[in-house]
Amino acid sequence: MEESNKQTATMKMLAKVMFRLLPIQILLATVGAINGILASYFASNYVGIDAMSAVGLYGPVNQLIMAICTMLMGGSVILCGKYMGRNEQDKLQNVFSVDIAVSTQLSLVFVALFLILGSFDLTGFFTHDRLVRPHFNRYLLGQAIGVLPLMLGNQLSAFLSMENKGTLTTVASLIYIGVNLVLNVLFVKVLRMGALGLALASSLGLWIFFIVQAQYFLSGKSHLKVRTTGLEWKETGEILRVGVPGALNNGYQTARGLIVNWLIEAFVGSMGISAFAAANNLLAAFWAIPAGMLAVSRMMISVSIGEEDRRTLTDVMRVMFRRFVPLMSLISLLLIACAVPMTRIFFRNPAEPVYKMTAWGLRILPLCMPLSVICMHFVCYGQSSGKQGLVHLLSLLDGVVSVAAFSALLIRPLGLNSVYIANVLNGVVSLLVIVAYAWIKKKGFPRNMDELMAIPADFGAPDTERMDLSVRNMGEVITISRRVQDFCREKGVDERRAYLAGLAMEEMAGNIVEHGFEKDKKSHSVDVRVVHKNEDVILRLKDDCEPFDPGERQRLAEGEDPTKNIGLRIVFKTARELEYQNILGMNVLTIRF
Amino acid sequence: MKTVKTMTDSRLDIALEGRLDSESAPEFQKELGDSLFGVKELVLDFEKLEYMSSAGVRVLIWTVQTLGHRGTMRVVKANDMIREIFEITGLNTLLANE
Repeated sequence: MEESNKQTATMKMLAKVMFRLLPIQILLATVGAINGILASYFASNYVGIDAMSAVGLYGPVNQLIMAICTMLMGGSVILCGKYMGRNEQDKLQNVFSVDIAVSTQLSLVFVALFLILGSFDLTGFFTHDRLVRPHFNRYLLGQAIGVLPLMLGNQLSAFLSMENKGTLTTVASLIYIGVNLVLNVLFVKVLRMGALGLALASSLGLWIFFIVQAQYFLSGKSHLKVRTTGLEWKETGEILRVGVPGALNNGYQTARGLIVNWLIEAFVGSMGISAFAAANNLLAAFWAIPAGMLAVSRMMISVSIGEEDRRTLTDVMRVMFRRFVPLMSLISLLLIACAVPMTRIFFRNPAEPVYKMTAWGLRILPLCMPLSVICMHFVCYGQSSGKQGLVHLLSLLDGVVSVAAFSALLIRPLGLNSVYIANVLNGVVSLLVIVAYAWIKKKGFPRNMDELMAIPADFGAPDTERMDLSVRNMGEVITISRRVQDFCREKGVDERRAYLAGLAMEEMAGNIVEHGFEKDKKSHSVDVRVVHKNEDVILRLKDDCEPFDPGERQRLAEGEDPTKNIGLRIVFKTARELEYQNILGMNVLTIRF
Repeated sequence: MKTVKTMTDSRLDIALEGRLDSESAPEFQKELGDSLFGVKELVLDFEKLEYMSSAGVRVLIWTVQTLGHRGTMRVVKANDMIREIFEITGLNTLLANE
């Protein structure tokens, strides 16, 4: 019962932190989706169905850019999380700088490519439809202007979240949405610039998105700083190695997009492409929610792995199953209920085939969203923990094979609905693969989260050398202080260090409860971990109160009244090492004796 | 935490047993407050005291300040760890150890 209460308290704290970070990540993911929705709306209402097809054809290209973006961002964030967990500041700064440099270089390659393809009508690969191609060429030229800010803006958003400055991303996103809307009205409706106007509106909006975020890093206030000299370029390899598996999913989706577009054009027609694009672009705004959930979890997972914190790692997945999946299921049901009103955003005549196809898409596609939340989390976990086999398999199935195969099998009898149904079946297949992988690795059906995640037995300290506790009030501080002393004695630690470990627990956890808990009258807990490793005793206290650096407090107190801050002074003078970090809005204090 | 008090003329001996921490310190301070009237010499026997944290140190500081010029306080038979706490906090100059 006590163990269950401890687990619940820690999970609740983690869930609170994750939900606090979630809105910003959703908004960020929505930025790209808003671009698609606005483009689709203005294309279908003010330019025509052929322009709408051009927007749909650009979808896989956008996926490719997002694949590269995700690869760089995912790899960099995971590495930064690990280096933060290990407090390796120099490597942290280097990863940030290398990521920005490489993102810039790759963006410029895309700019050149788009300008050449669009200017010289070399886009026959995308479509043979002579009515659609001119629109697509002009759309591509306009998009060339927005590639650089899109790539860099997404990178900066991830790093702003790590610095707990997600609000700036929110502001940048809202400004972008506003600018995009205004420019669409100006370029498409007023100036009648067609597909070029559609693309220019989003591209210029993206520049604003990027500049608003960049000013924080240029101001000198950021912890992360861009270096232009002394870069360890070999870190690029590590970023790619860690990031590629997660981005492979986007890469596969690019291939999937091309295959599915080909199937639709061959068996349904350009109208099918328009309907599929409309349904996808509208749902893209809501796909921002699982993307946001993943962005939050990715940060938590990478830091947990860096700290070898088994408990937080499994708690992240528990929060996903118990909070994120039910939330996503509810949202999916709402989307299905709103299928018809959403269709009417793009198409007004219910008698038109494109209207019916779009409505069915909005009824069926949301069913795959909760399943995707689970799949995306396991891909991220696999990426962070080096389970390359699982990551590649899930990425390949989820990205290309399942959807393409089911679509090809079902398109003749079911038409465009086959593609929608294929997406749902894909989610089911991915779930089965996750369970099967765990079954094979653990040689038995997984019965708990550790087994479902196939966490190696030697990850983190063994159970016998580790104690995980939660503190919710002052009474528990005293109890845990004694338990820490007893734990140390059981492990054969000398009496002096056992005393000091118990004392440090009372002093530091007591301070958190007495001062941190009372500041905002919300419920808090302190997550405590005690590890006996290589003859050392390591205490880790994690809380979600307002940021408080005890080292800073101690430095300020030096030379003051010696009868003040006695507890801090004792701990600082007796601990062999004491580190403080504020990670993802949580105070993390590590003390070593 | 348990305490055993012995009053002889104006000398008060208190033997502490157990732990002087954030939980027991407030009660001990109250007990001292009720007992210090007329005391000119206070001797705290720490032989059976296993553990003391900063909360205990603050009670001792308060006691010295309360006694003021009227009396003295000393701590005897403290274990090695508690002596180290006194040294770290620099309060061994205020408190006499035996």
